[in-house]
Amino acid sequence: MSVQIRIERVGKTYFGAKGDHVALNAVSLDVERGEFFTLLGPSGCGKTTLLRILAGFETATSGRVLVDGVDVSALPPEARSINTVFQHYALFPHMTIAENVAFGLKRLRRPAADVASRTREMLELVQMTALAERRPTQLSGGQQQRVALARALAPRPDVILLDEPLSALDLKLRQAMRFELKRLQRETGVTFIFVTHDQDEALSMSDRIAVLAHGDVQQLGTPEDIYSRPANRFVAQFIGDANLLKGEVIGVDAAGQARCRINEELIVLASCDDALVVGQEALVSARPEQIRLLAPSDEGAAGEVRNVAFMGDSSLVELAVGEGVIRVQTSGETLRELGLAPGSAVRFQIPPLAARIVAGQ
Amino acid sequence: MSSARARTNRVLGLAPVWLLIGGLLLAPLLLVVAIAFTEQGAYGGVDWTFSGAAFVSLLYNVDFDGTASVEWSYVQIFLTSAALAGATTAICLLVGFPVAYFISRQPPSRRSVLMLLVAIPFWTDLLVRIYAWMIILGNDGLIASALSALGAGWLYRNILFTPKAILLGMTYNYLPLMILPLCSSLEKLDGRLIEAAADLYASRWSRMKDVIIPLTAPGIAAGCMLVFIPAVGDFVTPTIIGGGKTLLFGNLVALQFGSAHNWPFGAAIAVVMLLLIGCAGTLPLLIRRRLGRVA
Ligand SMILES: Nc1ncnc2c1ncn2[C@@H]1O[C@H](COP(=O)(O)OP(=O)(O)OP(=O)(O)O)[C@@H](O)[C@H]1O
Ligand SMILES: [Mg+2]
Repeated sequence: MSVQIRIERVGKTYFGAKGDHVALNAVSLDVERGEFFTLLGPSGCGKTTLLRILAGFETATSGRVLVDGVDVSALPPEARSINTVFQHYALFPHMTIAENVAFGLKRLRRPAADVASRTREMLELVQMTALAERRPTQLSGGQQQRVALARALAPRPDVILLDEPLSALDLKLRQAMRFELKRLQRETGVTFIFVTHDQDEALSMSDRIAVLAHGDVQQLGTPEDIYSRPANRFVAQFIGDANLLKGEVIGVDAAGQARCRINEELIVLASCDDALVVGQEALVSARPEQIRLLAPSDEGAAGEVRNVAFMGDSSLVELAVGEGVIRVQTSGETLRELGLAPGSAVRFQIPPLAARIVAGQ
Repeated sequence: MSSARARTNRVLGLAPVWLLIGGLLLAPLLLVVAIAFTEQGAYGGVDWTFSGAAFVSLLYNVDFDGTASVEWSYVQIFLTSAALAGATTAICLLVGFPVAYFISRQPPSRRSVLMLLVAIPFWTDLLVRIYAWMIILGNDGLIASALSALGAGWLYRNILFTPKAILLGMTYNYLPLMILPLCSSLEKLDGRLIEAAADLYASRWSRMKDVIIPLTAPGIAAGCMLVFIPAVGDFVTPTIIGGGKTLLFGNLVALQFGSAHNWPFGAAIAVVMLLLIGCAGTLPLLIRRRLGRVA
């Protein structure tokens, strides 16, 4: 794999009459050719800003963007081989679907025969051939989405940028489109840079994810990395809604393993990257689905059920433990076996190495 | 039963509107049409006998012995009027579009201030505005004295009392009527569509031609109609800064109802012009309908 897009210390400050706003501090990222790369972060973290800088709609206040080693910072959007799938699709309302898809090809002055065949090919790829002569307003959201994709793919750009393309669709369609997008990316081999604030979307589709917050990259890695080895407190909480437990390191077992005491009854064996010393404070992250609930008679730490939320395939149980609250995700079976209801006593265990010590305050 | 009642109510409810349209718009119009088909009274006014003579005299000169020869002067006046109004419309569009585009891209608060500024000339009377141009353009007007003060007096060409002056005056008068509908149309234009076009390799010109103009076509059509129609009938501007030397359709009508005392002829000219403008006016409507299916 080779680096295709290099984002070098890109910063963006919006200067305004009511004060300046720093949207990006100094973001550095490499995106590889043919990769499905996701920018994941909460609302307002600067995802759209970064994407608009890549597309050329916005100029960075500092830093630069290289595509295949060439600095494109000064190029206008029409001179970049990068196409965007806009959040609300931005299809041209005065053109048919086929004309929309052909737009980029025509502006590149491709021969008419090529334009026609490529347009047909793209419409087939997104299964929109039957509706080629319709106008965008005569399509459903999902169909418009496909057209926007076909339009962006048609000129064979080096990179496609997608700004929350699924956010306007309903849940079912959103899930179907995840596979569809992934299929299109695999089939075309084009680099996708995908923006979302939905962690499930990011985890299920991406080759790599950059978690963005407060204008900085918090962590860069594969979905597996980010899920199981969150680099800091923010990532741990943003991805999978982990429980963060404050404790004290009471033993360092082996490289990358430490024993932490959370309270008198609760001692967990957690993995970590940094060197730790006995006696230091640590923040342990444990995901709700990794914690096991046990009967009050079993071995484990004690807690009291505060709340049970039914979520269809599983339930989320809130336990009061000491002063804090721990969330546990559990199956309906366990719930019934233990007869859990608000107020009932329960014990729980965090299996060895299911927890992780996260760097952070 | 109840639907018939609802219909009655609807008709009755709109009665004031119908009265207004009928009384204030239709009745005078019908009167003009009626007068066009009468004969000129011996001492001015009209002689209420049906006659098509007024229309005939638009195209033919009938001698006392009854032989008719084709009369081109009125056709020419129509053409001059249409050409001047057309040129005014074109200039207003060329000047007004960039201005409207600029205004529409401003933040909303500044936008309304700018729109107000565009409309400021309408706060004063048309006559005052036109006389102001005479002061600017005249032989010892602002331009002339400024140029001669700079020692460049030889550069000055007096355009007052020429068709150029009429064009200038009408462009100035009707420019706001072009800018305002363009603004409201451009305002509604989604900026993301322009970005999408740029993203898909459209040059500045292509973005204008392929996206902005087609999507603001209704505003362009409205602006052109709002400028062309009053411009083609304008008789104040040609009379004052044109010095009455260029006879236009508006002057011709005014003349017939005034000193010429030929009301049927004046009415006939007005009716013909109305029909011509009506035909021209349906064109943008057709365009709009075609685009309307899209939006
Ligand atoms: N044109 C602008 N002028 C001033 N501030 C802006 C502008 N555009 C964005 N911002 C600010 O910059 C920050 C980042 O905005 P951005 O749109 O990149 O966020 P985002 O991560 O895409 O959020 P979301 O998920 O809600 O779309 C926000 O706090 C926003 O208020
Ligand atoms: Mg955004």
